[in-house]
Amino acid sequence: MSVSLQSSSLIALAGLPNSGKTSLFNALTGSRQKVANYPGVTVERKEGAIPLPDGRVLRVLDLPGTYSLDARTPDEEITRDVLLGRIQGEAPPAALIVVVDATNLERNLGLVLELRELKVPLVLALNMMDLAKKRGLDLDLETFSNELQIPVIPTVAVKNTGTDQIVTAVNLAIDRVAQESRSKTKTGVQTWSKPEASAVRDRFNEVDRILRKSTRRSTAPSLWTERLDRLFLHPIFGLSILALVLALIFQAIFSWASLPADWIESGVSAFGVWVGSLMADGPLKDLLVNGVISGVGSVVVFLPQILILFAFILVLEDSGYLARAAFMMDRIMGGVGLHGRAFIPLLSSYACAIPGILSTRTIANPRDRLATILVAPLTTCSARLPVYTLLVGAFVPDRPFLGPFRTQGAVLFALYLLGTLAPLTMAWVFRRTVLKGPKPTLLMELPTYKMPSLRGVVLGLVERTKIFLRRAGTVILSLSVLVWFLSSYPKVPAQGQQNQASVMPAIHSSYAGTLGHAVEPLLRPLGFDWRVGIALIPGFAAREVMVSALATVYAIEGDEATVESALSERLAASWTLATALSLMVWYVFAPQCLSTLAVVRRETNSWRWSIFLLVYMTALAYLASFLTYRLVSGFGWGG
Amino acid sequence: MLVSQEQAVFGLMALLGLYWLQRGTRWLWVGPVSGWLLKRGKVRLAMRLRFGKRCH
Repeated sequence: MSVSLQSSSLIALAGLPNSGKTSLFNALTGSRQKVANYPGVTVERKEGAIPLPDGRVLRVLDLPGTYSLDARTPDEEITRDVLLGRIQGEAPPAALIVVVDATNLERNLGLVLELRELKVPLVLALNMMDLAKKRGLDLDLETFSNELQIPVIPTVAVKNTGTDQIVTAVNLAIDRVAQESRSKTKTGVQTWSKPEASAVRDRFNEVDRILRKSTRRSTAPSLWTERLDRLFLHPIFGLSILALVLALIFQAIFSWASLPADWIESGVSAFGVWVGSLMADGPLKDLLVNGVISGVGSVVVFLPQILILFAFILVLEDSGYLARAAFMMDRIMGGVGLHGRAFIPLLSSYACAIPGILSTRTIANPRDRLATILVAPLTTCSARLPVYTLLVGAFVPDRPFLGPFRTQGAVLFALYLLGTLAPLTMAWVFRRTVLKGPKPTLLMELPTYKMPSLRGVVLGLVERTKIFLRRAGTVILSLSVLVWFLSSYPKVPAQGQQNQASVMPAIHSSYAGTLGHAVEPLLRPLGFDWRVGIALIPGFAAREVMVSALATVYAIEGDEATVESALSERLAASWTLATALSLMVWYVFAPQCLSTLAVVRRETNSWRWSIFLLVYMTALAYLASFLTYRLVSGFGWGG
Repeated sequence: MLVSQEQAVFGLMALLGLYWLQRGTRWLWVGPVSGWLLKRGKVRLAMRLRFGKRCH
């Protein structure tokens, strides 16, 4: 055990939120990263590795941002417990890299002084030095380092500057401690107690003294940030710009993704035909062509759309605009009784409700947190995107709508708008009924505007692609195979098949067909037939499986010619506009994700709220779909 | 062919069933197995088992 532990020392990155820890983590470890959870809790644990020239490996842990060891949120508790060696199964770090935002030294150094009191070697990464210098910071690094009594390395994490020096400094610190500790006995668990108010005051006085002694000139506020904020935070222009940015994103999802999506689609289709031509007719060929390739392929086609959405989110986040969007939204969030900190969980829920629900741990008040957890699954997650784009592409004609915007982008925008208004409305309802309480207040720090880093965006997109393809290769593949199996068995006996073939395809008498027909009376008022019923059931495991299930059902039901035509064409030929719109609205509200319900159970510690979520969202989806179907049919678009 | 297409399909379905069975019961066996691996000095393997697959 000792050999492998010594050859891979664990170091941790700590610092205030927005100090650039994750950028430095990316710069240090590149793609050698592994994301998991801390045991027992659901705070994300991000570990990476730095191979050293001498063959050893430094394991690097990216800790959640914290303002102090005196933790106020579950995230901050994890950072404190890891640093103090209180987490079971997690060795305390051998050294710490404290990441400090050089443009805001006064606020950052308090934590450095606090961490200095722990008996762990420290290296200070003075991050964003380029910005700080531009804003006039003139710091005597030697005096600064001597006063703090720790090595200080200036870095620009997004440009990969200073990372080699950091690794060298950490390595030296670890070696020094190793030599010193040979003569002493060392315990893993550190002692720490909540500081008195006077101790905190003393610490900030010490920060003042160090800065007075080592800075010749401090930073001036960014003029650009002030100018841009006057526009972006304007009550009217700011909200208009936000709406325009969002409209542009949804337009881009359709316009830019269509070409790569077409390539993937024709690739998948050609692959299916090729595989089919290699094999003799039989159930295995049927499984591979109609179950695996048709099912998984129909979901993989949506990778370009998802990447475009995330590219925009990553660029906006990196530039500092997302924090402004949060600030703009706080007026609306406060109005419906949500905490301002709920914006980030709700925004994360546009990717997936699970990280969204996990990030509600930054909300200290349990009532505010529960309100956010209950409405987060209503936000339009990326698993809904394949369903929306499939149906919008099949049923909404592509015509000019308003200026550069076209009808398909506008409908998608409307669906996202509905997925934004729904959680806000439900939060308003909950805060006046089951979760009554005082109105929460928000205090947040707006970072300065920055040029987004290409490396950060690319790494983020690679991570997103891995998650998507892993999901397609495990959950979606398994469910596609299951849907295929249930749709193909029991086989109709040859004699019976001949008699029945003229009446209906074999899928009607399969397990899935029987199940679909059984739920059809319930779904009929919403305009859904038994095929949609078959697709909705596995859709509860993962929303996008609905698309692959539909692809499998239609592939099994159709003949050779229909297998080669796109799913959207097949749907356009057999559904009405009213059915398509009703299904889209169903997906806005329906709780079609078992993992979300499981995470809500884990986060609230009871099944009560998971069941509440399931019931209220299903009722809402049923009602909204029913009204949509009736209204659209009433306009004469249902027949 | 060693097996018929029908047998291959049912074999694959069984494998898939086993895969999901181990995924669904990880909470039950990961703790004891990784503890046993740790005792035998297989730190990397134990950590991989414990943290590696639980990412979202």
